[in-house]
Amino acid sequence: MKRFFASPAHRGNFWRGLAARAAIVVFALGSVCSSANAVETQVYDIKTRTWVDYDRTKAYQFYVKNKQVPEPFRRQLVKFRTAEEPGTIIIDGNQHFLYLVQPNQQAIRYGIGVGREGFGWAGIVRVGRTAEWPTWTPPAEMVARDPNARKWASGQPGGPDNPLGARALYLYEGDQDTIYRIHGTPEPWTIGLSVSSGCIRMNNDDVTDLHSRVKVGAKVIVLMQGAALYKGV
Amino acid sequence: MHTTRDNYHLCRIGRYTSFLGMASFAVALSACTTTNNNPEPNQMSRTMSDTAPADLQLLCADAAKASAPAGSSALPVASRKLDGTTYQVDLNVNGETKACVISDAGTVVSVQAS
Repeated sequence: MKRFFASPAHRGNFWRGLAARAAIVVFALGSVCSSANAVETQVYDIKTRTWVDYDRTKAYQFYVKNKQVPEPFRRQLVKFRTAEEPGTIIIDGNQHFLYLVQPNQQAIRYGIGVGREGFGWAGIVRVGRTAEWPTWTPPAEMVARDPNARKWASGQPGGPDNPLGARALYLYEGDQDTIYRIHGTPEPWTIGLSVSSGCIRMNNDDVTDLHSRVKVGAKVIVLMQGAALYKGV
Repeated sequence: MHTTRDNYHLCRIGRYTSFLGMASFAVALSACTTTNNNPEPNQMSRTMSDTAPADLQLLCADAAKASAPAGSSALPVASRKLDGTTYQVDLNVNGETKACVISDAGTVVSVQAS
């Protein structure tokens, strides 16, 4: 098991850590990509040749106008200098990119949407299993507070409105489900943003493409994301 | 012999020509600026955090592993831009923190305990 925490306080036993992360993820799944408008992403406006803030409102407007996300967040082959085996997934939540390592020092780069607070940990996990059009089950507290979620208390079937989108890759640590998933989304304009807690979202075309290329057991390297970065821990 | 009216028109033509000249120069300069200053299309996004690109972080981890005992593990836990061409990547190597400095060309400058 390879995992490194942001601070010594985070070096508790596996189960305590798992429980804490589970709580975060339960919240994440409960509030799937809910609104929080921290402006931290900027995109380059080629017309004005300036960097402009890219928040949820602007992202939505851009998507409605162009039917796709800005170019940097679209799937593309990029140079990627690494010794990792082809088929390895690297998640860079800070920059909102997921890389799938390819031969010859290249990678397929996908845009992702991530949690506002990040994982709070960096580590090496693996794809434990995958699912097509996965069922989403809202957490108990969401069922309690949100009448719309109540009807899905026993699980929302997969489909275009399902918060998990077209595919889900379940991240495992050894044989344990970390409760983290890489999944699709019915809100593709949130790609490139940090607008909720915990989940890694891709647009449905991209997660379907990734799913078709990845094997169960593939190595997943999660780079540190979030506030811990700025504290230099 | 030019009349006052002729002088007025000549003056206007002169100003117009000079305006066109300046406009052309501005357009040429703008084209030049566009070519030189715009980031590559795949780099037209950024975040406030200015962290090191993922591949550079992993190159640092590889370098730290290479200088550690066999079977060691190393993982980036933080990174930041030091200047226009170098990044610092903090690594957890077998539970200890090390600082790696790497250039944007992928050359590891140093790996030190921190």
